[in-house]
Amino acid sequence: MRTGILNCFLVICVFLSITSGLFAQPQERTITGKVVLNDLSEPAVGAVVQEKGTNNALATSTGGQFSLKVSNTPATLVVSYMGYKTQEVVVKGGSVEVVLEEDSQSLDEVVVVAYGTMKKSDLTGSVASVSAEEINSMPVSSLDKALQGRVPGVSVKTASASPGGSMEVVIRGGNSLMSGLDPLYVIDGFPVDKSYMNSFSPDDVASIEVLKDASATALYGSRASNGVVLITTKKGRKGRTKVEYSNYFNFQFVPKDLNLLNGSEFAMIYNEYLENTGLDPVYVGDNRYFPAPEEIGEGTNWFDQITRMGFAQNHQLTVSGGSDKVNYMLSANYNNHEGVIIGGDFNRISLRSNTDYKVNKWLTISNNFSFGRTDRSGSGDNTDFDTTNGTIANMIKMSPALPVYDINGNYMQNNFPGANSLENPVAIAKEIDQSNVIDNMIENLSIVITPYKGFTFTSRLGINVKNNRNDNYTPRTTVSGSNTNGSASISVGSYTSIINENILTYDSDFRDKRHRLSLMAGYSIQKEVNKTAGLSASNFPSDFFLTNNMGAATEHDPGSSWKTASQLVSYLGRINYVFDDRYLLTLTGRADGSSRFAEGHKWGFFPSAAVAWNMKNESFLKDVGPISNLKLRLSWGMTGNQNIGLYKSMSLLAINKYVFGNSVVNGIASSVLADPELKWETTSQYNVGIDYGMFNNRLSVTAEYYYKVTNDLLLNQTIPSTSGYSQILTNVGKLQNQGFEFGIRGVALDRNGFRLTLSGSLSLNRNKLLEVNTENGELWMDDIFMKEGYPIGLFRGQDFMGIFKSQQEIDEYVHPETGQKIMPGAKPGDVKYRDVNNDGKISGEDWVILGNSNPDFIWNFGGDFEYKNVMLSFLFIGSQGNSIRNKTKAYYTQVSTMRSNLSRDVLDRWHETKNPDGNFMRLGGTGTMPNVEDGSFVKLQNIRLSYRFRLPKLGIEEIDLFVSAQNVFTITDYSGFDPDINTMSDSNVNFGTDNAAFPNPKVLSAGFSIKF
Amino acid sequence: MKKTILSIFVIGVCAGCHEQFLEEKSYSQISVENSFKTEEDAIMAVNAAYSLLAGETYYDNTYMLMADGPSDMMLTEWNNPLDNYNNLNNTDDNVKTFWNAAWKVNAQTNLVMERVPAIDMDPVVKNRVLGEASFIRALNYFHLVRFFGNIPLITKTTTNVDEMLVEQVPSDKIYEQIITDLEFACENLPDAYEGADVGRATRWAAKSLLAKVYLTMAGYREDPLTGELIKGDSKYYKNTADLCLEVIQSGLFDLFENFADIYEDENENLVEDIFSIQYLDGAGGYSGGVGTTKTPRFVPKGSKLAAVEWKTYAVEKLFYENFPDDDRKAATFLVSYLDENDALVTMPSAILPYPFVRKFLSDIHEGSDKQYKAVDGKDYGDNYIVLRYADVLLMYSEALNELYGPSYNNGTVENTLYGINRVRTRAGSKAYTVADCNDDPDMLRTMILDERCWELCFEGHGWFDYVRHGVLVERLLVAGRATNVAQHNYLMPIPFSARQTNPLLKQNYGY
Repeated sequence: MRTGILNCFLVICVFLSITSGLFAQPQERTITGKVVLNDLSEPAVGAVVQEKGTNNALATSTGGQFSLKVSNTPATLVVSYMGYKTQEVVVKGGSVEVVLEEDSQSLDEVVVVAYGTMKKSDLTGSVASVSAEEINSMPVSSLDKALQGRVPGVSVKTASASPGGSMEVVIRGGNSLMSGLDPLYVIDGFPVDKSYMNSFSPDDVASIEVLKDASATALYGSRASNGVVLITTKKGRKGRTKVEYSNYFNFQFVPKDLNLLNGSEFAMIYNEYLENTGLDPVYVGDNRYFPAPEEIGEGTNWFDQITRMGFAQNHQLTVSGGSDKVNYMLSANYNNHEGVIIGGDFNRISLRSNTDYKVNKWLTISNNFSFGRTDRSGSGDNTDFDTTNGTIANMIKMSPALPVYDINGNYMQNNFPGANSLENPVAIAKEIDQSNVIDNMIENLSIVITPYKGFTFTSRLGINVKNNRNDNYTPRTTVSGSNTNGSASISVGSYTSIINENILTYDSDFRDKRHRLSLMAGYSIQKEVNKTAGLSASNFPSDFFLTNNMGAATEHDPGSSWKTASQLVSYLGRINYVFDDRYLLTLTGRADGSSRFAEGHKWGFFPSAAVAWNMKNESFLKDVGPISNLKLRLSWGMTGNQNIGLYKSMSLLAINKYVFGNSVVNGIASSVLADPELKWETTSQYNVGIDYGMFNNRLSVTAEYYYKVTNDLLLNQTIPSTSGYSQILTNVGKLQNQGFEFGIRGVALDRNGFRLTLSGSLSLNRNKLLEVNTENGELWMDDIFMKEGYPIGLFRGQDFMGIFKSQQEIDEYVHPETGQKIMPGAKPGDVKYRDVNNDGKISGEDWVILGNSNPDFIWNFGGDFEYKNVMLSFLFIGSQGNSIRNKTKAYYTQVSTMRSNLSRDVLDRWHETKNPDGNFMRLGGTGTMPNVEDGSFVKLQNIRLSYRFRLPKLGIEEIDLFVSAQNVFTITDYSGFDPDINTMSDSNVNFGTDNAAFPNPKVLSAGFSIKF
Repeated sequence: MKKTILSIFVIGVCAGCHEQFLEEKSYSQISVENSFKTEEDAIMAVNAAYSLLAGETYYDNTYMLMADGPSDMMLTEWNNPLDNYNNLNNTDDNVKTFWNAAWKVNAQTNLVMERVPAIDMDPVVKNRVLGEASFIRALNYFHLVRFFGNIPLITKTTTNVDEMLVEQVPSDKIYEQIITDLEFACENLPDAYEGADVGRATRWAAKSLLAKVYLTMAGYREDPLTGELIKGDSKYYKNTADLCLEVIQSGLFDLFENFADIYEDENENLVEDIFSIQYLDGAGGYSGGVGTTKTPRFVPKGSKLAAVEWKTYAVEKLFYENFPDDDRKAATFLVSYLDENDALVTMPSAILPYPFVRKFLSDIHEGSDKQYKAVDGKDYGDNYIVLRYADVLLMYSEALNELYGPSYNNGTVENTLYGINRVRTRAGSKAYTVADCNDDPDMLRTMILDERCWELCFEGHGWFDYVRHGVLVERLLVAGRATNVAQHNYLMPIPFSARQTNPLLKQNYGY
């Protein structure tokens, strides 16, 4: 189906390009005109105006004016200007005004690369760009959400759909089992961690570059093996002051509920469960809160009780402008989001100021400042059934036979005997007072000196300060709060990162520009310090104080505090050489010295090399009309992962206490055995890519293959306990990833004002564990089974064969040779498992692989349809062939011991008399129903209709009105809220687990932007 | 020119002195590298070794399961292989737990011995700290060698995984190391401590332990390769007798007048106490704090005698029934108590189907008539007595009997029956005469062993005593305790996990 669409698309593209340009009729004339940028006052100085098909061209003068003699009229003029869409206009004569539109897709645009910028045509590595337009087409609060389905090779999954919830971004598969998988984020040259994504507005972003292969990333050395995301924020431009205001309003709706039993069904099922296990039914009507099933009716739908319509609003004001000396961009953003689960809120205020000051010919000073305050209360955002205060978990645990409030108007406590929590989910959602405030500030000051022609020296001093404070008060209205008479906790953290970078570049060309050489050398030094402190107290005289007077409590835990620090020193360099615009070479190297490792192991060197062949510029292709770009790229490089946590190479001592003379003394015992030889995990990556453009790049295709091997994988190795320790963190494993990425983009239709642009991508990644250090080559981590030679992310368990519907079936389930019963202890209604190893019994050796959390491939397909002022865009995303372990379902389908409300599937449970054909296991029976599900899906992620117009007379440059919808529909067999989920995003090996996930809402949005 | 100078200046400022900059500094955790600098560090390091002994995986629980569980005195409620010998194999969790805990203690003592000598500190304190570490290492190896037979001898720390693959050495080599360590401790430890140091190992603790080591070396032990029971060299009885006599003649130790007084909180670390693991009540709870979990483990479940009732350990009924009717019987066994409503609960009943151990319930307050009464306790401070004077007296009699027979009499103290009779008379039993055993050393040997059971039951001696006397199988079979007990049970299995991580380790015979 999809290949069908792509084929049609290709045919259309070819057809269109052949039919276009059949106009020309000869007649010599002079055409005068003006080229202006997409902006009322800004003339395009130096734009190239060329008569199509000839060498007849000139550059516009000051004011954007031009006057060009053309050989024929009507003439087709091709107007190009760096950073803007090249435009063709058909002119019969006289004067013409050409308005150029910004374009980040043009071939010769400048892209941001590690420690610099580069013409896109000069790239040798794998760099994918995402434009501001694409980011801003999604009304979301953080950038990582907007990246979903935008870049081939980048998997973006929802870790939590709650307000301010996080995403799991993995570039080209995971390279590590124990050190993080997050890419390195670099914003305007400043490396930040993933948590910064929430602290700034996506509207501030001018462009994003995702660096994927080692040639592109190796300049970030020891932090680069998970890929790098470069974020560039907007800058002012020379010209008048421009003011832009934009907003959006989101209305969010719960997609579906979990289809649990209603009150009377639940009571009936629980009674039957008790009878099956030899106990007396409790829902018999002798107690107000244990009525007989038929008296209960629907009971309480707890899901409805804890959900609401979510609402989000976002306001962004941007002021920018510039003169010969100064350019500036100031922005302010306010974002407020009330989630679909009561109590889950997110608020942000962020400010940004980017200023460049050109002191004189050779000195420019730049200042980037940003501040973001976020306040998040994460109610509902739990990923665990064992903790007591998760809203979703308690919603499932709560008896639907109970009302929300008891007869005194207090929250009803859960009286369901099997549940391990008495909490009322509504009380948790509404009563717990929680907030997590983060202030995140980045100040980045740089000077750029251009002392001699070709030389540029940049020195940057940046500081990132992040302070957070987490307050939590559990009042008496909840069960846990009533047990403790109110409990409060406060934790604070302060993180500081200071970085100094000094980069010298030299650009030169010689021999008629046939040789171009660009050299870069740099030095970077960074220090990070993290401090935390916490206190908690309980037994408050009243709920009045919340966390605002901890002294009012009578029970205080001893406070806690912690400090860590790390340092990084780096030398880096790059050589770019281009011969005749045909042969390109890039060599990079970075030496990193990290404090995280012991003496003698602190330094690592991360080289890369890449070559590219711009075939289009070869004589044999130069005149092949339809091919407008053909480039082959090949790269190799090594990158590291120093995300191993701190102090891992130090043998640390733990405080333990003892008694002498009837008083307590301190002891310090060796607690962690560290490997002093510890070093970084190193990934070698090969990349082969091809960029192909046709019809003046109206159709462009990029295809890439990569192969990565990560050596020195960090693992906890089990060691002889006679050493006094059980394990040591050491470099012992080996892991492989390889994959293929294909991206295509083309203007499918461009006629009579209609313009349809379609784009799509397909990515697949295959990983394999090559080596682990365990005896049998097997390993378990985070519920994931791993084995040498197998992919990481396999779910393993007993092979479910249905249920025994009669004693006869049990008796007939025998070993084919011995005739012995395989499950002699089973009773009718119990789960039947396959004797995989054929040994006549069911044991751990019969486990099979139930699913793979890695998809076969992920894809996206999007389009923009423009007609005059109207634009309709859409984006589909999908994933194929991945499994999800639905732990939420495992919880609400467990009937061997009943501990929660259950799925309505349980109504088909086997019962000897009531339902002898039932396909769900017997209540109280042995076994579990399967919970690894196919997570494949197709989702209409975004659809947006906008109307754009200009009101120049009112001084309004542009108004853009839009309505849109996100998460519109999902085609999937997955039974949980949404297959776009991984609640275990912190795990490096678990790529698909749904554990009490937050429901991913459907969103309707509207808003507008206005530019003055 | 200005531009060049500026450029060079900026580069110059930033480069240089990396080594210092890249130093990894820990702020909230002490590392081995930045510890062991001061006298306090040395003391804290050896404190930690004591603390590891005190943990739940050692004296607080697992040691009791290993040393008392497989005797015919203690009863554990669940199907415990260390109680009934059913399927006691290399995957036993408690055996593995103890194995791991003991090697952790060993690593800590090795760390102290390696690092402390280089510290610039008061030489007297330094030698004391090293003496304490030697004592703990010896005590720990003494347990390991008795439980597991041939074991690795590790006296150095290492971070090299290959160096951790160590082979077992014959148990004689382990005993040599134990003797070396204890002799060093005897030389360097003080006679006693005062104030804030009370509870540390003394010279007399080292001597008493050394006496026990020699006694064990002279007794029976199983050959781990063949399963044969081998009698040790009798010459060691002389060492035991001499050391015990030294302890007796030191004048520092005595028996309490009342047997029950031994276990009272206020009597801890007094005359009868030679070495104890220290616990403290009300100082941070029994989990992770400095209280003990021992007390609640001896409380019958449902008795409401304590806030926490684990009912881990009870008493074999036969042992109770055959127990002599002296002062010790009432003080040792819990057979009745007052419940919340002051009603008397007596054995046998649902809560008290068999006797429980009363000895260690001193932290639970007694009501009128010395009846234990339901109270609300939180954490407990009963010390675990490792060595007490009564033990030394009984060892003295045992050694003299083996050396010279029951009738040996060289004065009031230097006679075979002195030790056992001091213990018996304190307990309200009549003193033995040579006629009581027909001057038969074999008969007296059994009488001394019985006396040890009555006096020292549940104090971590039972299984070792039976092994040393070579009577483990016969005693347990007679008691009808464990029909599956066999010759190979004179040693515990080397844990499966230990052999998996170190394939050089050989399993003990029969496992």
